[in-house]
Amino acid sequence: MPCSVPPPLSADQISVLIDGTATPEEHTHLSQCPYCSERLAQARALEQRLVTTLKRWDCPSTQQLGEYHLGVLSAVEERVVRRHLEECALCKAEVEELRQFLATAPDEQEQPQMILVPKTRPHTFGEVIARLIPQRSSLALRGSSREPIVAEADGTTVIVEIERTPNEQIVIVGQIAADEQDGWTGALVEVRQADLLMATARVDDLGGWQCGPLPIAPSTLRITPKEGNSIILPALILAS
Amino acid sequence: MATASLSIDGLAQRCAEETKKWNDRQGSDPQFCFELLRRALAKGMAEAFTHVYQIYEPQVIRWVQGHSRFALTGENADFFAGAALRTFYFAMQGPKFARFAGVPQVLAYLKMCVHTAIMQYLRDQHPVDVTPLEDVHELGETPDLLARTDAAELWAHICHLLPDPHDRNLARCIFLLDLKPRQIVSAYPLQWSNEREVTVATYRIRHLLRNNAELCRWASDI
Repeated sequence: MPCSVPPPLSADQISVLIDGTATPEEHTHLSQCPYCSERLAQARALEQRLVTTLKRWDCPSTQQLGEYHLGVLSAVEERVVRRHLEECALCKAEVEELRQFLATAPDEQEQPQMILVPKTRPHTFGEVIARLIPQRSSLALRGSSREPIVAEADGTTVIVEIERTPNEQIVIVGQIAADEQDGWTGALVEVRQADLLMATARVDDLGGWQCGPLPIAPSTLRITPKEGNSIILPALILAS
Repeated sequence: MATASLSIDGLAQRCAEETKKWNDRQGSDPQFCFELLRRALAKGMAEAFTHVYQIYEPQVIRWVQGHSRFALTGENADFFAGAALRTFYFAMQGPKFARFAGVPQVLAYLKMCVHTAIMQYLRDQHPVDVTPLEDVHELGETPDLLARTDAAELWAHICHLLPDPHDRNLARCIFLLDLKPRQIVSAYPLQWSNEREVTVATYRIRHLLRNNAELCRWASDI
């Protein structure tokens, strides 16, 4: 398909159109020429895909940058980050921002104005609400005769039992079963009641953990592995 | 008083008292908090970490609220306080704690975790078309491991097409850092003296990449 209004737009004119700085004549050409419109669409697609794929792919994580600033990286990591900072303006700016943040006392901090931003929580900050699995037969957990609560999230099963103590408190005993069980070893369990953190526990290498004694109240559990999504068991499930 | 002989509850009580004194700008003794932090992090004692969480959570929330980028996230302060404390918990486990000489250093690390939680959130957030917030877009995102492998291969291909280090640096600014000509001049004043110079070189690089059949096939293969 040839250009409808020759000569066709040059490569620079296509770039100008991508940048949004084209002249009215270039826009007119585009509106009359399917050939050049297609060339623009292809150029734009290439550019968008390049940026999407490459954007900050080799930047250290913000945690690595922070540890670099505090001088707690290993010598090898420190060298890699330092070299990266020599050529990356964005990471350099992030470290400078951290330096300023750490140097500011809480009462000197300006309270920034809240801006309404549509929430698109990144997958790296993911959490999954566990789904209760109805139980027909009685499962025993650690020798208990009471029926435990079983919930599932992202292929991981969480078994929880709430035991009453003689002095009218509860102890929450749990077990995690997953295909990749090792990923849950050392996970942090948080128990909250009315939004207050009441207890934490560490998942052992068999997937077990225990929290309490705690007051009798609806409790929400959050289990966070070192890498990956947190699993939340809302109070609703624990109260069931 | 020897802190080693105190129970976790005893330490937590003294740490909470000393933290309150510190917040009220009175003289405070950090040894109880340091021992509580040591048991929570170096020794991995969950009961001690529960107290650490309870004692420092209000301070962490104030740090979040005071962070200059917090308002761009649309989340509430509790969300980042939790994220920072969890990062702190995992990062400080075991022998790493020995690298910290005292409470101020440990708390600087915790405050750093607040900053990194907010900044990583903004980096990883996909741009929202309906609200063009320049600051959010500038931070970009950090792809996962699989995406990094693809990106490494693609970048190697682009470097092959751009043998001149000057061109590579510019391509890095455009595609990896997503910088505009004005920002490139400002960030790299020794390499670029004006926007026009950057724009001309950018057009040349774009033209070169658009004429590469392999890249065009890759871009249309969605």
